[in-house]
Amino acid sequence: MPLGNRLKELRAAKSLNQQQLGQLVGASRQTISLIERGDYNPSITLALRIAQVFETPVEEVFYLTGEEEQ
Amino acid sequence: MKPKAEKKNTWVYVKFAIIIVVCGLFGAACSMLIGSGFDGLSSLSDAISLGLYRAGVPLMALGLLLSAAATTLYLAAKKPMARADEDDEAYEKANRLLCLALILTTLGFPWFMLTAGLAFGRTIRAESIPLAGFGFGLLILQLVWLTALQALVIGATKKLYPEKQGNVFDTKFHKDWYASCDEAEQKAIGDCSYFTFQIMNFVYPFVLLVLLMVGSAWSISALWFVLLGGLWMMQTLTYQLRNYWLQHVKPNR
Repeated sequence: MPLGNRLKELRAAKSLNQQQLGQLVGASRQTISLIERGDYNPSITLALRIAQVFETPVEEVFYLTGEEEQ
Repeated sequence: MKPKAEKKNTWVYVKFAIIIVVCGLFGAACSMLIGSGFDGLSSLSDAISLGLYRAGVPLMALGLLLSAAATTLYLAAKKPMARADEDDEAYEKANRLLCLALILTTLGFPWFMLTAGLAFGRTIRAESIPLAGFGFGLLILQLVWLTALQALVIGATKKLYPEKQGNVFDTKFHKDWYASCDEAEQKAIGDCSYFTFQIMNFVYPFVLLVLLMVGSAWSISALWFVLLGGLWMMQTLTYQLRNYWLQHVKPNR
């Protein structure tokens, strides 16, 4: 099931660019870009790290797109 | 989530049987053709071989085009690279251009080795010493160009990915680079490696089959079988042993 995310809006709210977010979570800018576009599903560890940066539960950042349609 | 309906097995077996029969018929037809044209093929092989040896130096010079194309791509990447920090589109463009430059550079090395083998074969040395000398000059030029370009492209890539580690002149370069990749990049490397493994697992048996057919009608060096079979075994064994190690020796990665 495809994984959706609110990474771009959360990043904008925190005024972080992809490079900065990547540095904070230990990922490359390219990987952040891939996640934002839905081209890569991050591991649980990386998803938790990302959620930690935005101080929000992981399900506020990532969601199953099938779930949202329901 | 509903489990996917399992694919019907019958078609898989029918398809497998059809492939085997078609391959068998193709093999038989090729063997008959090879058998009937034994003398013609033998002289054709000699002519191709001599032609390739003679074309060694020009083919090596053609490799300079690869280096030139890679250099053009590298230079084209410089402009978007300057804006990559603040512009995501420029970053993507620079990244893509560098990736293409790296493809051509890495292709340049096997091309260079292949054509060097042809250019310095015994046949060509015996036929024309000046041509072999010119080939030697090309060899040095291409080696320096490709090595320098690869270092430049990797250096530029490291500017786009500041977290990347590894010196291209160090024997541990690939290990250091891989270790500095994040999970998505390591997964991409794994995908590429597996794809290559699959392709080569098709190429080896196919080439060996062709060799088997040719060998049944024609006297060819046993070293061809040893070389190809050895390389195939080495690839399969490396994959399987690594798989075993990851699953049973060091499972908690």
